[in-house]
Amino acid sequence: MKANRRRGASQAAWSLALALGSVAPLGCNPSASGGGTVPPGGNGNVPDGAEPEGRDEGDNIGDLAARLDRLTVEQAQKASTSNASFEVCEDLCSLASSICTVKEKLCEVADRHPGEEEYQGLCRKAELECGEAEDSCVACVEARQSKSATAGASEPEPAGSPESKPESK
Amino acid sequence: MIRPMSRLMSRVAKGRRTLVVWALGLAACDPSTGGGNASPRAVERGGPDDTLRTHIIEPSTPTDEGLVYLRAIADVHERADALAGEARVDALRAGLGVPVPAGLAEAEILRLDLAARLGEELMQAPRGAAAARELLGPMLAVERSLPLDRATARALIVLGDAAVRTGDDALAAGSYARSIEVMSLLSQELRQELEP
Repeated sequence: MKANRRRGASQAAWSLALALGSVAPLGCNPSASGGGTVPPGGNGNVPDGAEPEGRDEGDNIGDLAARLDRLTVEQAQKASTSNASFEVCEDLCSLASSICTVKEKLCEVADRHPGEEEYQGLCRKAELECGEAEDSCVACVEARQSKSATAGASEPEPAGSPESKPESK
Repeated sequence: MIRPMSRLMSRVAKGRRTLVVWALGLAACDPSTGGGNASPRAVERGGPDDTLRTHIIEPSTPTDEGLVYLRAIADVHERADALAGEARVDALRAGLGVPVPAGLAEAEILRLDLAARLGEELMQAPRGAAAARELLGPMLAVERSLPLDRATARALIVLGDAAVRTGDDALAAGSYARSIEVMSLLSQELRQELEP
């Protein structure tokens, strides 16, 4: 599973590399920000009143296309992380279900030995394990849902928006 | 070499989560796991024994012999899927007879999964529970260290079911409890993965 995660990370890295490859040429476009290094203070050969670099995202079709590309990449990265946690939640919930099913069987056996502490103790322990496993499943799903909600809510926001909430775990 | 190995493992798995987990290299657990709740006194009296010793199965270096073994086990499962009843039992039993190449640590999980499936099949037949117990009992004895994997949990459940059918409540309770312990450890492992 860890390897799976690693594979996911590797895929994400490949996606990112490809995305950067497609975004980078846009960033290098001289019309995007003027290009080159600009010494501060306006005492160089740069005309006064130049716009600060990287602030104005613009509203022309080229700028919007670049922004759309960037957001698409970010969304793909978020989806990749989300898929990994989905698999973990799925496994946790599947294990919880199996644990609780076996607990039922174990406690049925224990019921045939009401006076024997060894059986009763195993049944109690199984009940605890079942409860813990179910809690883990629920917590995992809730964390994932809140993560998705946060990602969904912040999607239209620019990166680093103060509105974005910390992930709850 | 690794890629064909993984692809083949997926074939072996054929939807069996355990083997998928194996193919992806899950090999982490608490090797110090052990103990169990049953007091020696209770066990001496014939009470349930939930002693559990587990070990980690590290992914081994792929070899030609290993691949041949994996292919053979994949074929066994495929053949068994196409058969039913006694013929399926025979096919699965033949799979357990396939010689394990040296150094293929993962074979322990494959064999346990195969045995669990065979046990489940045996249980379908009248008086099959005793045969399932005979098969799985030695493989899952409390003295043995078991791989921390869902195949182990599955096999312990089948042993528990077989014990119930044969009226051995102590073995049933112990097997079920050990199975739950294995699954709880796997669950803990997953929770740790979620930690930031």
